[in-house]
Amino acid sequence: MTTLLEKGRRGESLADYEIVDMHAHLFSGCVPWGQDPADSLVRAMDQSGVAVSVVSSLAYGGFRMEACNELTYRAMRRHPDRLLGYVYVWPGAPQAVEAEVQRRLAQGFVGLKMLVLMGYDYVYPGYAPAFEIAHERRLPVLLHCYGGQAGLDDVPVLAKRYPGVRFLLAHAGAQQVEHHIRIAHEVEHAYLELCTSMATYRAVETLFEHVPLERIVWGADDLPLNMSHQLGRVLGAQIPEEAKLQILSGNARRLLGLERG
Amino acid sequence: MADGATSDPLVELFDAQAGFGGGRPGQPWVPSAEELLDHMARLSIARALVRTDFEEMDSDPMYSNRLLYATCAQHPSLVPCPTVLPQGHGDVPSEEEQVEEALDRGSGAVALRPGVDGWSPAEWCAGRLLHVLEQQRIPVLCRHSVLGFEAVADIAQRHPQLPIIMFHLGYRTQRMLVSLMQAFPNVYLAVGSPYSVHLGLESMAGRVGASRLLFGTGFPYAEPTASVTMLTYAELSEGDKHCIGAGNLDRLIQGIRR
Repeated sequence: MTTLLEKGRRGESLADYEIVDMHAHLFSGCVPWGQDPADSLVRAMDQSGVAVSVVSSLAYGGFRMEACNELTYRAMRRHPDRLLGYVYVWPGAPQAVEAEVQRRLAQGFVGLKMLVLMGYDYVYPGYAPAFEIAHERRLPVLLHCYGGQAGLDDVPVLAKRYPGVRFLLAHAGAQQVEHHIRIAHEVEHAYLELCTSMATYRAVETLFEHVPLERIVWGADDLPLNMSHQLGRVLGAQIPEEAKLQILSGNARRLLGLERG
Repeated sequence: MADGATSDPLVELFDAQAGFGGGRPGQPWVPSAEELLDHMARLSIARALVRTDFEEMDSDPMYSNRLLYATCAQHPSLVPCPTVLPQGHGDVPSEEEQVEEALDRGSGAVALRPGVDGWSPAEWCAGRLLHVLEQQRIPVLCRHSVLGFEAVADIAQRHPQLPIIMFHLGYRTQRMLVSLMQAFPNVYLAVGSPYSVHLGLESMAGRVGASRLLFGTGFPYAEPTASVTMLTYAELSEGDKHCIGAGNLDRLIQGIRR
């Protein structure tokens, strides 16, 4: 039987595995002028046969929340079988957060996305209406969380307030992997997402050894990163074949309530 | 590509961005040649151009070069890429002697580390070294964090026959990288991690040409498979994949005047 690594080495399609990418973005800066970033993302998915990407947009600068989410919504409608949407939340206008989240969830968005780089910790009160909704509806919330940097230590605090939230911690293992492992042990509903341009050596293996397998998911961070580069980190990891499939597909599908096939 | 299409035979891979034998502060692991060779076997990587890496604690490059040469002599798939530097106050052999030894030992390139080794790439400091390397057409590897765009542009302009291979660049550098490579035809890019750029190989092949791109893994910093699948799944012709995978580095090495 051909292994996932052998398929990757040969550049063979992985479409049969129904891979789900839990971390994608729409940017205008990463594609040639005039091209649709959603089309470019789907093109990158097609290279290896990634089935679904869950996207958020920061295309117009993080402070233009509604415009960013409108771009995501257009992408979801343009590629309904391939792209799902996170509602991007900017807490700088807290009075707008609740209405924006409710409106976008009604449009079919499947989770929320927050970025500590925008200058607000995740415990900032402006985020609270969004977390309340995510808690009530048991939604995934994707948080930019590098080990050793701001944001990650907010998660145990938020988990006590909002136990229904599924916290997706992006860039797990990129650096200071022990920080992510500690938070995963503290927070029952913490899921570790793997993307990093650095492709940190043995990060996937280390997380596999220390975190329950069902709480590791794959994301590519494409755009701006390279989908097939990020995919290779799991294809080449020295972990069991079945574990790779759980990380690339099964765990994300359970989280999103997607049926295979 | 998707839909069951295959790339057969396998794209030959010659890793231009790999190393072993170096240490990092506070980290007990010193990556070994055997670990690299294990990954090469697992991923069908035929050869690797190897430096001393990690480089953060490598305070004696001449000693490290001796270890590198000795290891490469035992493993034909490893091609040495020793560190060279200006003689300065005389604690290392002359520029000519360093280059002569590199060639005698079968090196495929040399590494320039001005920050780590305490020298300036300006002509008044490195001119003699760069002149010798240019005369021999020896490719030089430059980590972006220790030799930035301005310094590379300056060297490329002053030494137009010197092949310069930049490595360890991320997606945020793409705009300047393309401009630099369009301006200076003797600048090349090793695409090992952290070079993870949305459709990056396709974009670079279109803007500067596939002949300027060299496959690399980024080991020991990076998991080597990432860069492998970035190439195998790229929307490039089989010919371009073979050039990037091994052909371009082979061509540069064959161009050395030994």
